Amino acid sequence: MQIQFEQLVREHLGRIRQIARRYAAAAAVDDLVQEILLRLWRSLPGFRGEARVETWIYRVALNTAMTNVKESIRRRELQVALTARSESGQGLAAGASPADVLADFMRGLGDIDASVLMMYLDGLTADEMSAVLGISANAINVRINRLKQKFTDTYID
Amino acid sequence: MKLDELKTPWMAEVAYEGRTPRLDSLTSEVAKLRRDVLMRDFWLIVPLLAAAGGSVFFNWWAQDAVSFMSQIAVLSTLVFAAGVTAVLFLARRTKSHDHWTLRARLEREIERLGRQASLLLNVGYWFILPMLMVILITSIVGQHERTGSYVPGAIAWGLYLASVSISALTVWLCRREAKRTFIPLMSRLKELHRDLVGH
Repeated sequence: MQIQFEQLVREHLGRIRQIARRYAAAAAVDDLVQEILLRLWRSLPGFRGEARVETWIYRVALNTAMTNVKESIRRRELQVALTARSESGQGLAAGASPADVLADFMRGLGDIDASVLMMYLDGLTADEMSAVLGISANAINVRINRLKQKFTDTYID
Repeated sequence: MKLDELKTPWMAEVAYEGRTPRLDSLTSEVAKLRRDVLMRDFWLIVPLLAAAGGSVFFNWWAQDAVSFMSQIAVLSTLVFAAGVTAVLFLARRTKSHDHWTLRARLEREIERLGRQASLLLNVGYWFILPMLMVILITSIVGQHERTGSYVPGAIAWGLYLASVSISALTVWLCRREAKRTFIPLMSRLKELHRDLVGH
């Protein structure tokens, strides 16, 4: 099982790190990554491969990130301070790279919308996202359409 | 630019290969976590049950004749230990599980935190008051068996004063912990839950 887990970590560490970066303050990203890996290791025996690995990783990672006791409060305070300072789309230089646009757009989203966006960009279907979040595929599609609209309003002249 | 065009930078960031964590330390941390939980339960429950068992042994089983008041004192200790054990077990009943959806996990966490916050806010009712009652009953019974009088002596009054002072401090600390940690986090999770299901 350890070899299987090592391979899985090698393949998906970048994804896990991106999720952690969205849900933890910069100094706490490594701690959150470690916590997510711990939870993945503990839940590995229950993963039977019926769903895509990405779906399982998102499920465990989002559950861990959003219910992380100490980090949740700390990050919340940080996010409130950042939101007060700038809204997404403002202060982004003309000709900014797609990576900058992505980071800026992500920063302006709430926790749930950010999770939907990450899964959408990762190619998960509405049904797969529904299995992660526990809300209907219809509600997911509504959120995605709103995200697209918000993106257009913010970044398209 | 469309939202879908962000898929390329996202996939590039996801493909980043960082340093792989050492898995032997990871697995040993899992084992440590389980040990920590076991030890915490051990140090909460076992001393209480040992005290109750000791009370039964020394004040009842090892005695030739046990007065009605002594029986009451021993029973109150037993009821207290059993009650606290039951309260602690019930508060941990909703255990989180990695395979649930985020919605289910949030609901479970809100419920679990609610129980823990309630435990801390009401520590005076389920732990402190019963404990003070047990101390009062056992000390009065002990005083009567030693001196024949139910009126507490100076040492007993000192014990009562110390018990009440420590109890008041404990209640204050527990309530502060609930208000500083558990209730703000619960509000945060409720906010997330509303955001998740409210659209």
